[in-house]
Amino acid sequence: MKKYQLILITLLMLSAGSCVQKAYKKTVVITLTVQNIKEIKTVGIRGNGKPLSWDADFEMKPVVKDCLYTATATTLTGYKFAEIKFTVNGDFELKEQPNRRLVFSDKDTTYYNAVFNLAQ
Amino acid sequence: MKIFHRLTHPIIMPAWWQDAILLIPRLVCGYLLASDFGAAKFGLPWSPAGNNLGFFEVAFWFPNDVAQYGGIFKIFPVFFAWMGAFSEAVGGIFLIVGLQTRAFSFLILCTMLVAVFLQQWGNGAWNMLPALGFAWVSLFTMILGSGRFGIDYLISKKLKS
Repeated sequence: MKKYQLILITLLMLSAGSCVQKAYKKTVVITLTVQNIKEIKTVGIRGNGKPLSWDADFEMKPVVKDCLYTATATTLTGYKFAEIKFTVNGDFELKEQPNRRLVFSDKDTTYYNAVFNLAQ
Repeated sequence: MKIFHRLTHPIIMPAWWQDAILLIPRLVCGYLLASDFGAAKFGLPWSPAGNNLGFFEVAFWFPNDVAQYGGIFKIFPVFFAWMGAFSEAVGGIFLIVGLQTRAFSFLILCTMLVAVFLQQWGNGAWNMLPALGFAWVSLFTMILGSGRFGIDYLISKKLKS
């Protein structure tokens, strides 16, 4: 019986020492180059973790139309990376290929540059 | 001691093979909870490295999700998030080895009922299915205990002798 009490106390002590994963505010500046696609209406990012979602675009703004797009997102996360994919006019890039891994920098701001449909 | 004995002592089926068949859902559910559903949001040595979870830590997003259930969950979101994640991850391990099967089955059942009625209710039957599946299995193991194939059975035998 004492053994079980000891196990229970050990478990409770372990749980008291660490409870909720620490989350940090991370800002991500993403730049996307799009090649050989004309008359682009929308460019977006899809992914896991707020503010991203796999169901709706996180809008990217044009710097140079049909060529260069950018977006800045701020998120509270405890993870080391987010999985993402880009969309142009609602069509996903890298079909049948793994998602991109956006690895968060140790610093507050992460800069991520990518070329549409070109895996890094 | 009496309560501990009653909680630990499993109901034994007439034939060993009946216990062996009942072991299958217990093992499958325990494995899925400990290796996947629980480990994704509760820090264990085999949790995905990218999730960056410390040992016995609950994922940062889970208390926020739990708070959205409202009522008492909004008042104690960290406690309920930690208990829910612990029940899945650690409860899964205890379910596999059949140690304190009834106690952990109760915790898993409570967690799954919350998942069904407060998280997935309204998202359609398919989304409720995983939590419902775990709930049904834990309901049976909460009544039956570990059967012949579990540490509870060995403890129970030792306590009797």
